[in-house]
Amino acid sequence: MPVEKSKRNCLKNPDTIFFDTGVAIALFNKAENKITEHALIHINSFPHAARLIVTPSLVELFYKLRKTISPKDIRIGLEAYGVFLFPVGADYEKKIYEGYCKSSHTHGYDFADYYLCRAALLTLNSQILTIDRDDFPNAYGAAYKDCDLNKIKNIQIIPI
Amino acid sequence: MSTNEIEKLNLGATKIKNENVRDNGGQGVTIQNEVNSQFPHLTPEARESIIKSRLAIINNPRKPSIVQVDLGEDASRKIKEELFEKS
Repeated sequence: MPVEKSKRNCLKNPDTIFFDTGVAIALFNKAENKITEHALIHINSFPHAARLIVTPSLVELFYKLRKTISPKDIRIGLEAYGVFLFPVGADYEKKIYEGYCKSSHTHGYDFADYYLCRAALLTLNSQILTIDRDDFPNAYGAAYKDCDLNKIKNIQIIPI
Repeated sequence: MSTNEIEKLNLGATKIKNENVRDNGGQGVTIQNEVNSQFPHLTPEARESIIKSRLAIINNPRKPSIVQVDLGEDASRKIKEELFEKS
């Protein structure tokens, strides 16, 4: 379905920005302050856009920081940046699971990437901040194909 | 200071306080209305997250100082390897 011109213009002006695991980890990692700086410059240029993270990304973040930062401090840190958990709901989550599992092919992307793209498709104009330049285009392609919403190609993937 | 003056000051302070509450409340209500009309298909919990995030950005626009550790370069790239291949 071709994207209408008015909607295409909206792509530059996101209403939600999703944080991939990599960018979320960088917020807490002194050695990756450059990634944080780039991410901040980007998100601060869209102050009206909600900053969100999905459950699989949180799982990876908590795992990575489990021996160094308490879950409470992780939550405080994320919320200080305005990043909140985006709950997709049990029914939609089940659809995501079924969508990911229906393929008998192996993928270049993992469940968290696919989940994030399906979640981002729920909002009107979204951006995904990621440091992963390779997997996300494939994950988004699959998510878009599987999504049964009245959809437009509404996601911009922003490599940091 | 006379009782009248104290009352005036108190009334003034209360007025400012109430205005602030109204402003914050008004902003919250505006955002809530926007989000509800923009995302009627989302669950209430998902809409609440969007509202919370937008309010947090307004209330804390600068770079926050948070707990950080040194995980080394490429820490985020290594997460998948650690999670799925180490064991």
